[in-house]
Amino acid sequence: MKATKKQLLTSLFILGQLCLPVSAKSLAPTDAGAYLPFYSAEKIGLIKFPGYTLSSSQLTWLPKEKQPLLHIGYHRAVPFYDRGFTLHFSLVIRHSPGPQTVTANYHCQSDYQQIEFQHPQWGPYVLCTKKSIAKADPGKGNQAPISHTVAFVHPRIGNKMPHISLNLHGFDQEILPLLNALHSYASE
Amino acid sequence: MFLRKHLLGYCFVLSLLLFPLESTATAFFDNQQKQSIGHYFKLDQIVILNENAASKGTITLGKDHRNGEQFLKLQYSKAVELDGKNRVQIFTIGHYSKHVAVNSGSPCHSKKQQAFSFSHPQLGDFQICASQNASNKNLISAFVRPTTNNRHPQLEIQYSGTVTELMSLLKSMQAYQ
Repeated sequence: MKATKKQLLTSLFILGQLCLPVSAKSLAPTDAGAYLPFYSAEKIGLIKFPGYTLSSSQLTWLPKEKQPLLHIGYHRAVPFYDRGFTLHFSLVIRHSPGPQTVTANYHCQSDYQQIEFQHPQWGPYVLCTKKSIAKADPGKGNQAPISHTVAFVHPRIGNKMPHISLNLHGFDQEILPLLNALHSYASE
Repeated sequence: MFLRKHLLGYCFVLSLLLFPLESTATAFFDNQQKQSIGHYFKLDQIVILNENAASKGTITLGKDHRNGEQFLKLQYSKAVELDGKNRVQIFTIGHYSKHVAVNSGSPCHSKKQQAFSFSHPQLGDFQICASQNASNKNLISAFVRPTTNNRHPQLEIQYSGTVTELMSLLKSMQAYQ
């Protein structure tokens, strides 16, 4: 009975996380101003999703490369109070000067699950996903497994934003909604 | 013919005087980089290495949105021969929006690190916190921070390599403008 109550609390907590307000914090005009000489507002990809907040953004000029990469990072902390730990999810949107499109015969590594996804505005993506189980301190509370997923997302040929790839990390059922929440800075 | 050659020579010298070539320091960034960096830093806050001191590596410009801190990191590398092997020394000049200067004589963050002071003729005084590499005692890892009287209190230098190279690279630092 006790375990059931804790499981219920955890489920309610996850439900509460899903109902979190979408963070309005986006790139400030100063930040965007630093990046716009290299990536126009239409070419900068952002995510707006409950719980995920903008954590970092940076331009990287690799040696001998004239045009920089742009990485935009998000973070989400999901505390499980009854188990005494917090899950940290990170999400990175990688912009490159050239296309990152994968070939038509691209396949994920054997230990990854392959998912095809169609973004409503931008077009086709391939996701290579892997599930993990969060480990809790065995001495603490509810031990029901918490599954989470990492996904490496590449644009397929025909994608309108071929210069963008993503690394996603979140609850299993949120990976595709996260990708669906991808939009351009110009559209904000 | 002789007069024409002389005239061309004078014109060349005159053009150099009127339109001087961009100095090494100012040519370090291209115009687009300068434009981007200018959103976060004043160009006179930036410190670079003398052109011949080491090879220019990755440059990163960004922001930590959790604390609002902006940063510009200039990475350099230099290969030197040590124990018959080519070792790459990595020297990174980090610029931050907040001041990171330490009081002169303050202890290093880690007990494994030893503190040294270094005085740069143009930039001012620095504190070096260095620790020996466990596998090779000729190599060190070091953090170099300005002390409170330094003209560039927002710098933090990270280094891995030999002691000799660290001192040589620190001496070759110069203000960008």
